[in-house]
Parts: sequence; structure tokens; C-alpha cells
Amino acid sequence: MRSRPQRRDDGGSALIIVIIVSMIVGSIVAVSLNTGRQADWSSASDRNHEGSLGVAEAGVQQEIKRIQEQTGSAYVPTFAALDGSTSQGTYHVETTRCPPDAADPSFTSHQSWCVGMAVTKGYVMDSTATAGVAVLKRTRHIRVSLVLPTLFPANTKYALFSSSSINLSNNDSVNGLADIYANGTVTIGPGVHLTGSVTSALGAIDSGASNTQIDGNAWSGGFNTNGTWAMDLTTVLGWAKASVPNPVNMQTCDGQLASNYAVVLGVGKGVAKGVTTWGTLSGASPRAIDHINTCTAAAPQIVPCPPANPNDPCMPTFTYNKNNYNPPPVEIGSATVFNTKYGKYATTHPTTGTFVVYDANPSPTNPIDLSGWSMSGDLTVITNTPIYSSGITDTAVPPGVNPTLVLVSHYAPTAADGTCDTNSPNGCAIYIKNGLNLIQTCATASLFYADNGPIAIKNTNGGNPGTLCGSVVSGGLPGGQGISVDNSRPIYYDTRVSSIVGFGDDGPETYKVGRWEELPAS
Amino acid sequence: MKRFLRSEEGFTLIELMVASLLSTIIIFSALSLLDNTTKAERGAQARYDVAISLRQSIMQTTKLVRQATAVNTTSTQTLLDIQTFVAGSPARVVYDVSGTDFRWTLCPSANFAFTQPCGGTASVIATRVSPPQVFCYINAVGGCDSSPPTASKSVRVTLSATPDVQAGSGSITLSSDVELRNVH
Repeated sequence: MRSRPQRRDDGGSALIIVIIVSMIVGSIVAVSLNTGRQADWSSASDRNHEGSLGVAEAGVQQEIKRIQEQTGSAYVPTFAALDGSTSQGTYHVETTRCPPDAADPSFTSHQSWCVGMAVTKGYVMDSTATAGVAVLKRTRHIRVSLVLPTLFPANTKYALFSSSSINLSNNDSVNGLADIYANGTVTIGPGVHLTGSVTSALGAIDSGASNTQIDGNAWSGGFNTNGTWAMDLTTVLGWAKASVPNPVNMQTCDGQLASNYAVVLGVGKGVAKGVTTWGTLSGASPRAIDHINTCTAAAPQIVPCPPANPNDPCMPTFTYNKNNYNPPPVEIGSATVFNTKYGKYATTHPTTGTFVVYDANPSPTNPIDLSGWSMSGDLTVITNTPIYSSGITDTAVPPGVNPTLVLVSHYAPTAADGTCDTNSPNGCAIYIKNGLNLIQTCATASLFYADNGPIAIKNTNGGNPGTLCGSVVSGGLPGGQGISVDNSRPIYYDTRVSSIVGFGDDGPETYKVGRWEELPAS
Repeated sequence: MKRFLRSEEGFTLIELMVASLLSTIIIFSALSLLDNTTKAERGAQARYDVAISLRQSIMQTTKLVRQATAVNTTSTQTLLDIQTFVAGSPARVVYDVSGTDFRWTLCPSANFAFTQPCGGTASVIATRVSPPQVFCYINAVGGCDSSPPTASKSVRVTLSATPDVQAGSGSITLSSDVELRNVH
């Protein structure tokens, strides 16, 4: 019986100790668990934050795919929201076309994103994504604009662009902040005035005719067929550089003959900001700002798009997708049928729309004939056979409408077709003569594109100078004709041609992301 | 009552001393363990706070870098000068390291062009940052250069910070490769 009270007293002490120790251990466990829980919570929350961005971008990619596949750039007044999910979360994408309607609830928030995008030429997508659950849930909101790719890389502007030669004659002018770029020789005839710069990546520049003026720079990479000079210049307000393509040894210029790279200056004329040439300077004495027998690398030559260096010039690609046009294009399988059905009609009935003609036997004897056509709005002609025209007019275009005229010919002339110049249409992919009777205020923006052949533009229409506002792009013939323009033709580069559906500097894609921004999640 | 009184006689002095000694040892051991745990928890909390700070800094930085439209080619490993969007408007932002402070500066709109000095007032967004080499620029072959190429498309942001001395040795490093979505 003595042991019972003893056990009771022992039990009391032990209980106190056990309680104290339990409290301490409990505290330790609680602290540890709390620390772990905090770390886990934070880690999971951050993981969801990161994950939700990927989910939002997945939503954008799905929406781009949907737009490309289903609508192209066709007018889409309403666009159903897109909901979807990935393994990490869910997304909700709302899309607005640019520019949005004033009645569109997203107008205010989206209008600043649509600057520079004309009707049917862009979209703005809002993608909101959520990853995680309950208190660990994180939501992010990104806004992405989808725009047409630019015609030339890095937003460069070329009024005339040719993989072969360029020939301007008889008081032509190229105006505005746009340049001329060719792989082959550039010939500038009497009285021609260029407000931009001239580059021949592999050829010579001949502007030795009377009263020619280049307000920008002149840069050559080759020499004339006689091997006597690289540039023959009259007046250049910028600098002139006669270079050698891709020299490795800048001391010897890889053994290139200096005599090939002479620069000839007209008497009493000159190059305001100095001449640099691997050859010598003739017709004038070298000044302090001139550098003779100095080796420099020529400008990069035009290559197929996309170029290895994103800033290099490249020949734009054109991809036809009938979903890109609204109303749908008229597709015809014969140039003869097209000419019979629309040729005469369009001369008396102002016409608008997109015409696609793929002829089984494309040839100079079987061309698309747009002679006398009258435009009433946007006009696009896409074909694999040559395009000829003796006069196109936009006088019937309603006031306030600023249409585009897009001529695309993929015709690749053969040697049997003959030459292409302003007097010889047979070797041309596009040949325009006797008036491009477009309104002189540049209401109509024109893009003439022949990726496999030359283009010639001849004669104005009486007293109308036939101003061409836009750009002429020619793949030309290797080492041969590219672009020829004759007789007092004023050419103005027009920025509207930098965003024509189907063209791109980045390969065959209709759209690319223009602006990406993360906004606060609402 | 008799038994109760009798029970008070149950422990000898030695028994009490041994019991007290054992109790003291147990309690001191437990308290010591609690103290160590508390210190460790404090250290862990400090590291956690630093990690949170770094995470917030890197998130803020990567958000603006991700939507940058251009990177100034004069940027270095300790200074990143970008044109980006802040609250929907084009803005120029400079991140740099001063001492052990990681800072950001919103340049006045008049100084948007890279040719202008940034101006503006720097704000600290992370402290105890070391080393100061926070940025590098991912090149075409996957390496990371100390200065940006002409058209930098990816920037690596690496923030390292050491908690206070009591938190124990070792720094915390967070790194993020950011693809510039608006540089095409």
C-alpha cells in the first residue's frame, strides 16, 4: 500500500514534465510546420504565377491559329471568345478586329492598339489565364496585337526594288523618303531627280546623263560592262561609295582591279559629302573628304526572304490564301476567259475586287489585259501569266475612298520571250503603258510585284503625269532586266503598300505579333 | 487521511535530487532545442523574406523586360537600359546596381530616346544584392554575353542576395531567361 501514493506523486511530476516537454516539442513542430507551409505556399503561388503566363500565351497561339485558318484577314464584325485549357490552367481570349467599331465595348481600350492598322488589317487579343486553385490561384492578363508583316524587312522603304537592274529615263522622279535598291546596275537618265538614295549591291550606278540629281547617297558594288568605272555621277548631295562585294583583305581588296572601280564625276558637278572608292576619281580632283584606293565592303545583296540578317534586304514573298479577301476573290483558270468576261466590262463599269487567274499556258501571247480598266475601289489581280495594260484609271473612285491597286504576276519569262523594256513588252511579267491614270494626290496606292520577271512602265497619259504612288518590286532576270520606267513618271513611295495582305518579309505567313504587353489582371 | 500523511514521507532527499536533476536536464534540453529551433526558424524566415524580395524584384523586372521594344546596346552586366511599356504607354526604364542595391529608374518621357541621358530618380527594389552582375545577353548559340548584340532578343536576369549574418551563410540566387516579345 505504500507504493500507491508514491506512484501518484511520481505521476503528478511526470505529467507536469510531460506537459512542459510536449508544449516545447509542440512549439517546435508548429514552428517547423509553419515555416514549411509558408515556403510551400509561396513556391506554389509563384509556380502558378509563372504557369499562368504560359497558359495565357497558349490561348493567344490558339487564337492566332483560329484566325489564320478560319478567317485570314477577312472582315469579322464579331468574334466569339475562345476558352480553353492546358495542363496548367485555363484561358479566356477575347479578340477585336482593328480598328474597332465605336459601338464595340472594347473600343476605348483597344483603339490605341490599332493605330496604323486599316480596316481588316489587324486584331487585338486579350488573353486572361488562371493557374492553380483556391488561395494559390494566380491570374495574368496579356494583350497582343496581330498585324500584317511588313513588305520589306525592318520597316525599310523602297520605291523601286529589284534583284536585277533598274533603268530610269527621261525626267522621271522618285520622291519621298524612299530609296532605290538593286542587285544589278542602276541607270539614271537625263533630268531624273531622286530624293532618296541609290544602291546597287553588285553592279554599277550610271547617272552621268545631264541634269540628274540624287539627293541621298550613291553606293555601288560592281562596275560597268567595259570595266572602266563603277559610278558615273552628275550631282549627288550625299556621299558616293564604290565598293567591292564581301572583301576579306581590306589592304588588297582581294586583288580586285582598281581600274574597274573608278568614279567619274561630271564637269562642274560633284558629290557633296565625299567619294570613297577602291579605284580613282576622274573628272575632278580628289578633295580632303574623298578617299581613293580605299577598299570598302559593298551593300548586302537582295536575297530571298527571310534573310539571315534580319536587317538585310530581301525579296518579299507573296502567299495567296482566298480566305484573306472579302468579298471572296474571283478565281478563273484561263487568261482568255478572264479577258473576255471582264476586259471590256471593266472599261465601262468601274470595278473593284480581287481576281485570281492561273492559266495552264502562261505566256506573253496569253496575258491578262487590263487596258482601259476603271477602278471603283481596291483592285487586286494575281496571276501566273503576264499582266499588260494600256491605261488604268481611278477617276471613278468615290471621293474619300483611298484604294489600293495590287498587281501580282508570278510569270517567269524565258529567253524565247525576248527582252523587257519600255518598248518591248514580250519579256515582261508586268507591262504598263500609255497612262497609269491615277489621281495625282495619291488617293490610290499601287504595288506592282513580279517575283520572277521584269516590269516596264512606259509613257504618261497626255497632260496627266500619271503619278505612281507606291512601290515596284521585281525579281527580274538574273543579270538582266529588272525595272524600267520611261517618260516623266513621278513615283512617290506610299506607306500603305507596306501592309498588303499576302506579302511578308518573314516568309509565308499572313500575320505576326505586332505588340505584346502584360496588363494588370482584373 | 492517515494514508495521505504517510505518503508525504515517501521520497528521500536523494530521490528528490535525482528527480529534480533529471527534470532540469529534460527541461533545459527541451528549451535548448526550442531556442535552436527558434533561431533556425528566424534564419529560415530571413532567407524566406530575402527570397520573397528577390522573387518580387525579378517578377517586376522580367515583366517590363519581357515587353521591351528595344535594348540600348550600351547596356552592361550591371545596367540594363530598355524601351518598354509601363501602364500601356511607351517608356524608357533603366535597371542598375548601386552598391548592393538593385534599382530601377523610370526615365522622363522627354528622355525616351537612347541618345538622351535617362534622368529620373532611382528606386530601390532589392537590397543585399551581390554580385552586381545581374544581366547578360543570350547570343545566337545560347551563350550569354556581357553586352547586348545589335538585336538582343533574350536577356538573362540573375539576382543573388545574402540574408543577414544570423540567418546563416550562403546566398540565394534566382535567375530568369526573358525572351523579348516585342523585339522581332
